[in-house]
Amino acid sequence: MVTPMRTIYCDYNSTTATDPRVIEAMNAALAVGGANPSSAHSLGRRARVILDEARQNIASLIGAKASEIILTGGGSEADNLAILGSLYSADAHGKHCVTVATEHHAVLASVEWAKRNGFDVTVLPVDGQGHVDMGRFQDSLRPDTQIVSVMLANNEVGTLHPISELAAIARDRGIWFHTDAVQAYGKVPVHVAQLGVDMLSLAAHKFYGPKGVGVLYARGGIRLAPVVHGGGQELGRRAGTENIAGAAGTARAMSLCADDPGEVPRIKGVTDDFRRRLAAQVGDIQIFGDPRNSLPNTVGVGFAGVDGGTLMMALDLRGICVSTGSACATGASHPSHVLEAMGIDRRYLGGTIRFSFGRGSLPEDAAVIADAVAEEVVRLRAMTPAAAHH
Amino acid sequence: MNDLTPQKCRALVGDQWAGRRVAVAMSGGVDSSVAAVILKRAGCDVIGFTMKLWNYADVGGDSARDGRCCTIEMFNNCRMVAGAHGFPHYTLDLTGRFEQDVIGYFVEEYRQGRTPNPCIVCNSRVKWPALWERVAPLGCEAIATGHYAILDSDVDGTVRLHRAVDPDRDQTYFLWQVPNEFLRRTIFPLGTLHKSDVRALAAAWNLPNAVTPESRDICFVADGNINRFMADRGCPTTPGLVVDQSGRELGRHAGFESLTIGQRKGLGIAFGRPQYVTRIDPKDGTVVIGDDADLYHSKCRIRDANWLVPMPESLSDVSVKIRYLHEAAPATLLSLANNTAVIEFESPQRAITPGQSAVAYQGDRLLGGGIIDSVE
Repeated sequence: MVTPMRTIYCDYNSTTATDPRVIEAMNAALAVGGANPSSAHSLGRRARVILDEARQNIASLIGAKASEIILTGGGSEADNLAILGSLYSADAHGKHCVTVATEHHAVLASVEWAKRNGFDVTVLPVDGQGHVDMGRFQDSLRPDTQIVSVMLANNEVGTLHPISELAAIARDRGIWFHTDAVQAYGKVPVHVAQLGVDMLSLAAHKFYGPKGVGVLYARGGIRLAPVVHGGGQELGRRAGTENIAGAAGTARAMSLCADDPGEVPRIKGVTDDFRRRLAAQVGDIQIFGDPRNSLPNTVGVGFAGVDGGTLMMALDLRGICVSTGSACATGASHPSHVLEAMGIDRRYLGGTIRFSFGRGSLPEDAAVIADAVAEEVVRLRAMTPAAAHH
Repeated sequence: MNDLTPQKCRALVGDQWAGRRVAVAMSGGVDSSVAAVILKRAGCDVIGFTMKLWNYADVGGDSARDGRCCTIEMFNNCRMVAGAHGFPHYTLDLTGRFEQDVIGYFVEEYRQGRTPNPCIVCNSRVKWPALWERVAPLGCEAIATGHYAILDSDVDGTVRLHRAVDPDRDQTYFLWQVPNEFLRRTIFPLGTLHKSDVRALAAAWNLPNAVTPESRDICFVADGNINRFMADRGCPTTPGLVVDQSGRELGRHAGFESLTIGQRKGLGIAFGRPQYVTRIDPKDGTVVIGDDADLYHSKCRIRDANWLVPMPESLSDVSVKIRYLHEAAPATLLSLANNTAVIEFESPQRAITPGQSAVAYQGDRLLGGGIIDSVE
C-alpha cells in the first residue's frame, strides 16, 4: 500500500479544526478577560465587555438580539435546554412534544428522558430521502403540544428540512418550535427570523470554532427552565461562570464564515465532483438523502458487500479520514438510526461511510478520495464473500 | 532490562516479519502493550486492535475494579501506547460474537455439570478467527499477542509451540485449541522474556500500564461470583441430592450449576470433616462428595482434541496438564482417534474435572489437547 503524502481530512461533519484566526481571538480574550465577567470591579468589567461584544456579534450573525443568546457547553446542551427547558417552563401549557426519527441523539435522548419522566412524545417517521410528511406533521400537533424540534440539516445524510414551513404551522397553533442547526451553520443560511423559529441550537466546533461551546437562541418571550442550575448567568437560563474565550472564539468563527460567501460554493464544487466520480467509479452503491435538497458538503454512501468499519480503516491507513455513518463516542458498529428510519436496504446498511468536505478540502481531493475508495471497495469485495456481511 | 535494541526486538519477533503489516491484539494490559512496542521497534508495520468483547452493563458485577479487560481505562491505555509509539489503533466491536461463542458456551457447560474454560474457547473461536477476519482485509499478514509462549514454524509449515521461558507465566495451556492455520501467522514476542523483563521494559518505555495489577479470574465475571452471573443470565438452579461415595443420602443442595470438582465449600451442609465435590451428575442433579483421597484418579477420556503435530495411535513419555495451575504430570496417551484420546497418568491426579482442558507436552513442546469428558 502507498504511503500517503498528506493526510486528507474528509470528516468535517464530525468536527472541524479550530481556525488559527479563531485561536488568535481566543488567546486575546484569555489574555485580557481573566476576571469574572459578573464582577463589578474594573477587571470584571473588562472581561464583561469581551463577552458582551461576542454575544452581540453571535446574535447579529443569525438575526437575533443579544438577550436571546444563551451560551452553553456545547450543541448537545443547547438541544437539551431547548427541549427540557420548554417542557419544564413555567409557561408550559402542555406535556407533549414532537420530533423526528432522524434527529441527533442530543434531541432523541432528551425526549426519551422526558418520556420516562411523564411527558408525552411523538417521533415522526421519514421517507427514503429523510423527509417528513407535511400532513403527518400537522396531524401530530395537539392542543397540549408544547414544543416541536426538527433539525435544519441532518448530520449523516445531509437532508434539509423545510424549517420555515414547519415552524409557521407550529406558530399558528401557539406551539414552540426548536431547530437543531448544529450541522447547518456555515453551510446553509441560518437566520432566525427567516426561519421563523422560536429556538435554534449551534455548536461552535462544527464551523471552525472551539469545542465545548454551544449557542441556544431563544426568542424573547420564551421562558426556559434551566437545565444547569446555579448562579444567575445567561439571564438565569444557564448557570456557570461564562467561557469568555469560547464566546469570543465562537463569534470570530461565525464572522469568518459570514465574511467568505465564496467558500460554500467552492466546497460544494468539490463535493459534487466527488459524488459524480464515486457514482461513476463504484458499482452497487447507494448515495443517501435528497441530492437536490442537501447540505453542500455531505455525501452519505452505502457500499453493498463491504463492511463500513473495514472500509473506514482501510482508507485511514491510506491517510484518508472519514467516518462510518456518524462518528459515535465508542466507535462501535451499530446500524445508524438515521438510515434505519429512512428504510435503507439492509444490503447497504452494513457498509456505510460519510464523507464530509470543508475548509481544508482541495479540488483534487475529490479525485484522490474517489480513486482510493474505488480501489479499496473492489479489493474488499474480492476478499470477502458477500454472505459474510450482516 | 532497561531497553531492547531494534536488533534484539527483531530477534524476538522473527526476522521474516520485519517490514510487514502485523495486527497486534491489545487488551490494554502491560503484556500486549509491550508486545506491540517490540513489534514496532522490530520494524513491523504495526496496527493495534482492541477487541471489545462485552459490556459491563450486560454482564453485571463491579466495573470499579482495576486491571481488567474491556474497561475504559484499558481502552485508553491502548490508545495512549499506540499514540506515543506512532502506530494506528482501532477498536473492534466483537460483543455479539463473544456473547454467542464464549458466554453461551460458559453457561451451557455449567448447566451440564462441567467446569468451562472460557479463555481457551475465546482464543480459538473469537480472538484468532474473528480478528483475522477483520484484519486480513486491511493487509495484515500476521496476528501478534502478548501471550507467553514460544512459537516457530518449520519451512513445511509445521508449527512448533513451546512453553515460555518464564515458568510462572507460560500460557500455552490456553492455546492448544487455536487452529494451526492461524498459528502459522501468529507472533508471540514475549515467549522468551520474563514477566519482570516485560514490566521493566514497560517502565523504561513509559507505558501507562507498567504497574497494572494481574488478574487470573474470568474477565466477564467481574465480581468473581459465578452464581450471581448464572442467575443474572436466567440460568435455572437445579436442586438435588448430596450423596457420599457409597450413594448414601446426606442431604440436599440448592443447585449443582456452578459447582466444580474438588470444591469444598458452598453446599450448605456441615460434615464435621473436610468433604469435597467428587462428581456431578447433571441428569438428576446428584452431587457426590468424599474425602480428599476420593478426588484422585489416574485415567480420563478427552474429546474435541486438537493436535498441532501428527499423532501416532499412542504416545508415552508425555506430560499432561489438567488445569492452568496444575503442574504437568507424566502420562501416556492411548487410543488416539477421531479427536478423542485416553490419558493414563503415572500417578493419580487430584480433581480431574470434566469441561477443563487436558493439554499434552513432550518436553516443553505443546502437542495439543482436548476437553476432559469423563474420569475413571
